[in-house]
Amino acid sequence: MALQELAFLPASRGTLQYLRRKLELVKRGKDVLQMRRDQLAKEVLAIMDELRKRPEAEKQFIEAARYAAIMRMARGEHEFRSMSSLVKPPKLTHIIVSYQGIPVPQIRITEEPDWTRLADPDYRRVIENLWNAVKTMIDVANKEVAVEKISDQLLYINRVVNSLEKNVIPQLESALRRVEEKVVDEELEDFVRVKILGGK
Amino acid sequence: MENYIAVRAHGLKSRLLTRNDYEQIVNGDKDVGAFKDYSLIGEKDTLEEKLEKIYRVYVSRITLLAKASQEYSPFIYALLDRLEIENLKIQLRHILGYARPVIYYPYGRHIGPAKISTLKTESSIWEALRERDLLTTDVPKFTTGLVAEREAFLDFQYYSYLMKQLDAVRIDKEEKSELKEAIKSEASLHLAYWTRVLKPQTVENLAKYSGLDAKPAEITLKEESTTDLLKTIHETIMRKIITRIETRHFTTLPFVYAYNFYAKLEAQNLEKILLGKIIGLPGEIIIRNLIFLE
Repeated sequence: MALQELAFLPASRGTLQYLRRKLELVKRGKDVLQMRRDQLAKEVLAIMDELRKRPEAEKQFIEAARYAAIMRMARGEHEFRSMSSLVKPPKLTHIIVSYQGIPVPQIRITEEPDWTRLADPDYRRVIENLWNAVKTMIDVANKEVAVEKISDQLLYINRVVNSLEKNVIPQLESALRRVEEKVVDEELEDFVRVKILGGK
Repeated sequence: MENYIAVRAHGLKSRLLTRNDYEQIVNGDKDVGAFKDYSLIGEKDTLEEKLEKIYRVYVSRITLLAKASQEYSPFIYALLDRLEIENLKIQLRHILGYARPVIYYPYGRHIGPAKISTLKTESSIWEALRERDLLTTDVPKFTTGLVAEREAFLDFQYYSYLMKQLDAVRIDKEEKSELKEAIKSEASLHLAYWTRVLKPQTVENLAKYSGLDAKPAEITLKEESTTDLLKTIHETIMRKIITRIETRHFTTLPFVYAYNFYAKLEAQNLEKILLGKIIGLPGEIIIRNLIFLE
């Protein structure tokens, strides 16, 4: 039933019962959503703690990339390109993970890169540092997507709770009051009528 | 004829880029293409095209000297054949690795880049080398399974091959022994690099197997970086071997050996500059990694 239709409800005991049940349901729904909101907010806060790693991860990545760039220049493009051919690239996959029931796309490393064929210690160091930095960045990116998706859900729940609090519940209460008053009035009228008729 | 080649090498050496030229390119005051020898390099060329043109200049400079005398050409060409060995190393990494796109040096007297890129197995590489007399021994049984062990073997084979070419050249005894000593010193410096990459015993066995009578040079570095070590090796070759040859054999064949080192160094320096600029490295880092003529 649309909220606008509440104004046209017939004033009867049945309507009164119906509105009371409806109001109770809406209030219970609001409480449940508020609890869910708190739960999601807690989850976001927990992930946010891990997101503090981001500046450190970025620094680590920039440092590793800078070192790789210097080495690429120092060893020359011919050597660098063919040396990189000795590294087996990592395998990544995309999965959907449920965070408190919210589907969140995540990257998972299914296979680590293999640089055992590289014998030069400098190249090994470069690849190792770069991979460690990339791994941390993947972890941070996963957490960021999770925060984004949970926040979207949080905003949606907030909008619904606000709407229930500011709109639906007051309108239901007002309709309930109106119907209640009318029903009481009608009952009083009936009572008076019965009394008058009984007096005659 | 020997004097003529040496004089031509002097002429070519005078055209090499100076420290000031390198700094101008790094700072963006001049483009590589602004220098006469590199005028074919255009601004719109890709990195691969630019590198190819740079190494073509190096190849043409040495080829010019090799063509000047049939008597000495096998040795002079053998100096250039180093690029072929590098191409084979690149192909070895390509086929024994994960076959990513690679670039080859634009040179191939025995096995050109087009032919090398068709060699898809390790055995076909050894076969191609054997067919062209570039191997002085049979291929040993490699013990580590690493590509680096094969690369080291190729390096040592190259020095043996160079020695063989030098033996065949008819020059003054003193000049020959000077050149042999230079090649041996260069080989022992490179052995020092390989001992950082592979087990010293493996390296010594490979060198011995290749008939290379050289021990790894002792180089002390503050840090354990092989990149720094390679730079130090190049600087040591220039300071100890090339400078000595230049002063003692000003107008004979050993000077061509010295010139080859300088010409190759110029190509390597330009490769570093172009790469450094494309990557966006600061000028001072690029300059720090260059080796300048003394």
